[in-house]
Amino acid sequence: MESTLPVNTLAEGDRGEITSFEGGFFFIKKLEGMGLRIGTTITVVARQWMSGPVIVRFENTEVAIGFNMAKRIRVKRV
Amino acid sequence: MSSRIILAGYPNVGKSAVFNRLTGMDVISSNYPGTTIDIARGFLKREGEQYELIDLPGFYSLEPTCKAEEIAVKLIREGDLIVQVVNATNLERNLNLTLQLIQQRKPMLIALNMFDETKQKGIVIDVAKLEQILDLPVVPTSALTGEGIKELVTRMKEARVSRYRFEDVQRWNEIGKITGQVQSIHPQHHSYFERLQHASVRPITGIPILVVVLFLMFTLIRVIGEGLIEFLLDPFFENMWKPLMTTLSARLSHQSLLHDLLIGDLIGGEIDFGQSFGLLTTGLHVTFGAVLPYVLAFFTLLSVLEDTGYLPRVAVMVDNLMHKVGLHGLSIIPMLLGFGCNVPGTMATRILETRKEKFIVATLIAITVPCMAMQAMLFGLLGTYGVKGVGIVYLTLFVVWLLLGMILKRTVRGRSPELFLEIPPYRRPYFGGLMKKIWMRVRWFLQEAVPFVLVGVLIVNLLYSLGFMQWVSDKVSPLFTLLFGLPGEASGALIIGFLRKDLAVGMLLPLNLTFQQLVVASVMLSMFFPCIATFSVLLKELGIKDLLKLTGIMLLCVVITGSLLHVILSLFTG
Repeated sequence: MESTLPVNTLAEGDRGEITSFEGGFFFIKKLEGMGLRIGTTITVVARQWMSGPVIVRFENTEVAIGFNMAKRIRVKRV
Repeated sequence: MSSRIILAGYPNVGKSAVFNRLTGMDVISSNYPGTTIDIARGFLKREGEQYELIDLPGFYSLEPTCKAEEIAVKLIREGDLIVQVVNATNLERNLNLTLQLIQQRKPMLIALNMFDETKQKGIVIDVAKLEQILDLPVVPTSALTGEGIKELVTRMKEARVSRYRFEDVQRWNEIGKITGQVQSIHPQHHSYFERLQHASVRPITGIPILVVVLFLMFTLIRVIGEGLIEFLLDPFFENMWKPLMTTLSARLSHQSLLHDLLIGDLIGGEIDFGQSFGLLTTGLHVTFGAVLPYVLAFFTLLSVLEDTGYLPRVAVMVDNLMHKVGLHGLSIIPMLLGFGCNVPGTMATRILETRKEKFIVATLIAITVPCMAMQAMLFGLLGTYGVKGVGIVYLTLFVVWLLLGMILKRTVRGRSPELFLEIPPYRRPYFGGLMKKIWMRVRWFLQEAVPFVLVGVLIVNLLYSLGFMQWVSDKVSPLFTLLFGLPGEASGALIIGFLRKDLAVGMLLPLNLTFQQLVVASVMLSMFFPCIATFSVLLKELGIKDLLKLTGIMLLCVVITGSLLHVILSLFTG
């Protein structure tokens, strides 16, 4: 099995493919509505200091994700 | 009954801009998700028939995850025709909503908005093919410039229930298939805008940028505001209005009630716009001569920031700080608006999800965010003492903001969600739209402010002539002196501050307060009851129970801060 890691641990410029969400129905719906779903490849654009939000880019969209939310999105590096 | 047309779409795809174009009405559009917090209704005439057009707040899904989305879904079900506004630079994601809307089986058409931006981004969309696949009319538009809007109206008659069918579980596969057929993307070099975009959200460059932007913003507000006053408004009031009023004053008998109301007291035999307190003297001067220039400057600069798309980046940069007070970064937007006027600031709390967030933001705005009218007065009162005086006031307000926020975070029940926010690309503000927005906000300020100032002046006069002010001031005098080191007469300013903050200053001026007293009075005035207009909005947004709580917190804060500041300043000044 391939190892996965949460989005908040990625560095600026890292790319990853979303493998799973650790959350309930509404959490997943919220992410999917924005276009983040399993299989989406994201690139980390920026990370704020001290457990701040992570900004990821996918397709033509940039989204800021709170640190604790980012923790619950797992990706495998690509 | 007229047919109902619903404008639907994701946040920040330009629904409001399309709405403005279609109806010729004005609703505020900006470059950040969630600008539309209310449902706007307008009318559209087409071939002699009238249609009702409804602009929905943006939503991400038809499977509602919050109250606002529930309402949106309900309105869509009741609509007769749906216009989905799609962001053409982001076709794939927007099609997710298109497919969900198609399942509603309503006559529908698509406005492929921001079509002009696709070229810069190297995106080519085969519109005819997209029409054919979706079985719906698709019209490329650019709502900012107005391109394609006419065609959108003419093609509304072609709107139909799409015959496109798919399995819902296969939705994302379907979307992938469609975009594969109609869209090709030619990667572009990073544009200057894009590099700036990334620089402004990376902390190492973003924090300095934020500091510079905020510093520039507040410097420019002062420069523009003071410039307008010095070169335009002061000359007007002193050289043209004053002689006119002096003539009027001479015509009216000096002791008459009418003279008292219209002109007010003569200070040293002359009209003094700050202290006369007549409807036509102080009343007009406060609104037009002292506050309007700053309001105009503030909303001009804020509107530029809004339209470029910088505000969501501010939200990201301040997210950490906001977590300290139980909020996330997005709540900076209502607070920034509050610096212009607490009323729109309080209304903007609707972009926040939970009751806890709304209560905290509304409370912090009401108590610790001084509106432009209040700030203009702050500079009027303390400006002569340089940065020191105003600096102490702002610093005190910030400390109260932080401490009160930290307490509220721990005591208000409810959830503090995480930041989850789309960051739009930078856009060059569109001049026409910008002017319209500034004008709307200024007009709105005048509609709100003028009646309250005039009524305020009237009430001050009445309360004085009835001896009420004297009575209150006698009653509270010992308390005021003991706790805050202020004369009892300063209580009048606090009472009137409830009507209009800007009027209260005129009541402090004649008291000849010392520097220390002025600072304490300014802080208390800033924190004490927001003006009555804000109060009524708070009642609407929070309900009576939370408003009473807020009022209690506020009174407590004013007394504690006022007396502590009095003690601290006494220690320093001896």
